[in-house]
Amino acid sequence: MTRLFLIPLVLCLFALTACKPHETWRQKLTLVVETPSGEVSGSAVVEVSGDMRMLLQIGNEIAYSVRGEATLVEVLPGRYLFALLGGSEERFYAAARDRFAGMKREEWLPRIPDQTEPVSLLPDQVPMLVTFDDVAKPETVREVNPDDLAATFGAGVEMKAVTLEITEEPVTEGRVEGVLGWLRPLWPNRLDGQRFGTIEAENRLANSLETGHFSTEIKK
Amino acid sequence: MTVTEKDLFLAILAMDSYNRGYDAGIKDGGDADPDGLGSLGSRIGNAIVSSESNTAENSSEVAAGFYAVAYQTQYGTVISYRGTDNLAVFGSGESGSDIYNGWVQGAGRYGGVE
Repeated sequence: MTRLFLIPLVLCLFALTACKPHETWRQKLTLVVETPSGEVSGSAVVEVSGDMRMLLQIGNEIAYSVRGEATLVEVLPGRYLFALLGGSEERFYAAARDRFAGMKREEWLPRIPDQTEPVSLLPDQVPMLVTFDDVAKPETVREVNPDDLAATFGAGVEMKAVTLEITEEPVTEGRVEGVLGWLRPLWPNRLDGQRFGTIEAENRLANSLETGHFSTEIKK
Repeated sequence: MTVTEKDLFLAILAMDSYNRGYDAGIKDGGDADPDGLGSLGSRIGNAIVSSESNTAENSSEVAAGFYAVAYQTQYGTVISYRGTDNLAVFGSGESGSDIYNGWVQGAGRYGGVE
């Protein structure tokens, strides 16, 4: 009989959880790069969902999902710069934290989709940047320092701006796969061709990157 | 029953798999931290994280709710993988459900993906 009292208790807990926010928004990341032949830029729209209703089931406060692809810029003819997807979930909040001062997550999360002002990313907020020595060979991936693009692309190349804005534009699709034709055939392997990550990999950077860092839509 | 130092350390490693990779229970880099307490090359005690299953959102491992990690330890290579850490029946975010992909195998659904 005593156990019957547990039923309303559990129902109350689920009801409390159901009151938590579940928000979906699209955010556009734009890279502007100065080159000797002028300014070039690239943008990609990614959709982010944050769900706080799962508290009882998963233990974590929030479950995120991301849909979209990396931002790419053709810096020089045939030389591409990619801003990877990792960290997309809270990138806008991190960059615009002052707009949400003193708020808990359940308070700022519902406000994200309503943000109309773009935000500039500080160097430590910029996504991981990579390029390829040979864009046809995934194992030639190389990390790029956002503060020193010239070291990778040559003199006269520098990052002018990295901005993020909330948008109603559709999620970007197919651009990255159009440049990296090996993405789909490579899945589920990593960029060095290995199935799993290991510290014994000769090319640690290529081994640390999966197709999902470039596009969430590359899968069976 | 005597609990040895090895027993205790293996138990810690069994728990540690819940705190690395995607949807880690402990996130030392904020809630969007992609790898919890650290990925390949990070340490727990004298053990080094030497290998792990895929953690990107489009991987079949994440879709199945699966995560495993290997450590190089003084006792040899130790493999630790998560049990149930997601009770959402249909999964949460990009992470697949342990109930749908794992528990049902105990009921005879041998084709489960986890």
